[in-house]
Amino acid sequence: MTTSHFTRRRFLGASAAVAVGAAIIPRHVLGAGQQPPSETVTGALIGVGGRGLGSWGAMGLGNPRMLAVCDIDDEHIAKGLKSPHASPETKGYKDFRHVMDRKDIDVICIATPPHWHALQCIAAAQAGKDIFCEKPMTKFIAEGRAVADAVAKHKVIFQIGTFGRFKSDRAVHKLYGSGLVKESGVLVRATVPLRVGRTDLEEGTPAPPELDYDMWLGPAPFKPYHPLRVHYNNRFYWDYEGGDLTNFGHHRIDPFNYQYAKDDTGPVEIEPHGQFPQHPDAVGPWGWVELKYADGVRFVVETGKWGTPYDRPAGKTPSLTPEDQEKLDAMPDPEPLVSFRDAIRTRQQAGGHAEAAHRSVTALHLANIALRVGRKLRWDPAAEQIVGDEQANRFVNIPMRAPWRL
Amino acid sequence: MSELSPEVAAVLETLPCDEYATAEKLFEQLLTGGPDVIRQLVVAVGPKFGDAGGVKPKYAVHGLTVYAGRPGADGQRRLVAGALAKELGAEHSDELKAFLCRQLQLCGTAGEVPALAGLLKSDRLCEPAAQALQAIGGNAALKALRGAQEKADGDRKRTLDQAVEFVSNQ
Repeated sequence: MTTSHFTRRRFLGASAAVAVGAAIIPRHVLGAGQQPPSETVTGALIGVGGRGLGSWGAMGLGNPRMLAVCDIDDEHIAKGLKSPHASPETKGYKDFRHVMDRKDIDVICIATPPHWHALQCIAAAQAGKDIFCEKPMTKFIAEGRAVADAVAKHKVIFQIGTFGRFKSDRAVHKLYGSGLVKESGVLVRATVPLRVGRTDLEEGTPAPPELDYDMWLGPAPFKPYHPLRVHYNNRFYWDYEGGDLTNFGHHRIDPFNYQYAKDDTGPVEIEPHGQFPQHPDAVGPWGWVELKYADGVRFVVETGKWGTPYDRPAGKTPSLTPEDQEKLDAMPDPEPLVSFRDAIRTRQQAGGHAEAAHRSVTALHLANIALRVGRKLRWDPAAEQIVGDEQANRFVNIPMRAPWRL
Repeated sequence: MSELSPEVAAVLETLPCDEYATAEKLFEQLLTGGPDVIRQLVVAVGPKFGDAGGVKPKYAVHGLTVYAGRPGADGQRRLVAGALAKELGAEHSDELKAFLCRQLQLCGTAGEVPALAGLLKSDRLCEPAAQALQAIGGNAALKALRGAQEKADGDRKRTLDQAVEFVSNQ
C-alpha cells in the first residue's frame, strides 16, 4: 500500500470494521530497522527556521515522509529542502494554505512564531489533518478555545510540543482527579529564564527580499519591519509571543496541570510581581507570578532574576480520611498517556491534547496579562473570562489584522 | 509643541518602577496634571515607531493607559482616554497616532468612538483604529465601522468588513 493517494491514516479511518492490526505489517516481519510502509506517516513542516527541524523529530513518528516544507522565508525553505528529513518528493511552499490543500498529507507540524499557531492549527483541523504544534500553543486565550473546538469538531489528533506530562506522577493525578481533595496547600514552583525585548529599537529597515514580511506578520498588528523583531527575536515582543513566560513556561506548567488534574480548569487568582509599567511593545523584567487554583494549590512561575523573591510558604499537604482512602483505592488507576504516534495509529486522544494545551497556556497568558496591567486578577475558568476587570479582558480576545481571523 | 515640565521630566526618569506602590504614586501625580500633561507625554513619544528618545514617554503613556483602566477608576479612565483621543485630531505622524490607537484599544470607551472613526479613511490608520473600535465594541463602534465600510475598498474594506463582523458577534 502506498500513501500517495490513499494515506495510511485515512485507510484506518475508512476501515473501522476491520481489525487494525491486520492492516499493519509488523515491524519484525521486515527485519530490524525497517519501517513498514503502512506505518509511514506523511507530513508537512510549517515554519522551518529556528526550532522547525527539531520539531519534526520531536513528533516521535519514526521516519515520517516529509512531503512539504513551508516558510515565508526563501532561505528557510531551502534549508528545509536540504535537511536529512527531506527527499526528492519534498516540495517547498510559501503559503501554508496550499499545504492544507494537499490530500496526501496526514500530519502538519507547526513551528511558526506563536502568533500564527492558532490559525494554522485551525486550518489543519478543517483540512482533516493531525497536528503537532510547538509551544506555546497560542498568542492569546480566545485562540486556544477556537483551536480546541476545531480539533474536537473535526476529530483530528493534536499534540503540543512539550512532553513533561508523560513523566508526571500518575498517583498524584489520580488523587487530585478523584474529587476527594477539597483543600490543598501544595505549592509548586517553576523557574523560567528572564530575557527581555529591546525598548530602544531604532527605526527599521526594509524587509529583505527573501522574506514575505506581510505574511510573516499575518494576524499581528502592522509595525515597521525590524530584523530584531523577527526570526526567534519575536519571542520578546507582545505582538507575537509572551516572552519566556509562555515559551519555557509551557514546558513547566504542562506537567503540573496534568499531575494536579487541572486539564479542564484554570487558576482563579493570578498575582504578579514585575516591573511596572511593562513596555507597550517589548517584554520586560518580572520576578514571579502566583497562580492559585480553586482547591488552594498554587503554581508559581518565577525568574529568580528580578525584584523581591517569592517567599510565601507552602500550606498543608492534603491527607485523606481512611474512608476516602478506601474510595481512592477502589478507583481505577489512570491510563498511561497516549503518545502522538499511538494516537495517530489508534485515533485515541494524545497525551498533550488540545484542551489540555489550551488550559496550560491560558494560565501563562493570564500571568502575562497580570504583569501587563500590574494588578491581581480573578479568572473564571468555566466562562474563560477575567472577573470584574473590563480592561484586562481586552487581552483575552485580541482583534486580528484582516483578512486573518478566528 | 509642548515642552515637558520639570515635574513631568522628573517622573519620567523614575519609570518603569520596581514596585507597584511607587508606580501608583507617580501615575496619580501625572493624572493631577490633567490633559495638558498627557499631551506633553504624547508629543514626547516622537513621530517614528522607534524613536529612541521616546522610550520613557512611551512607558508613561502606556502606564497611564493601564493604570487608569483599572476597575473602579472610571473618572481617570475618561480623562486619559479623552486626552489620547484628542491627540488623534492633532498634527502628529501616522506612527504616533497608531500608537495612540493601540492605547485606546485598551482604555477607550464609547466616548472615543468619534475620534477613532475619523481615522478609518486612512490607509495606514484604518487597521489600528478599527481594532480599537473592536475592543470598545457596542452600538456606537458598530455604527462607526458600518458608516466607513460603505465607502471603503481594497485593504480598508477587508479590515472594516472583519471589524463589523467581530463587533456584531460580541
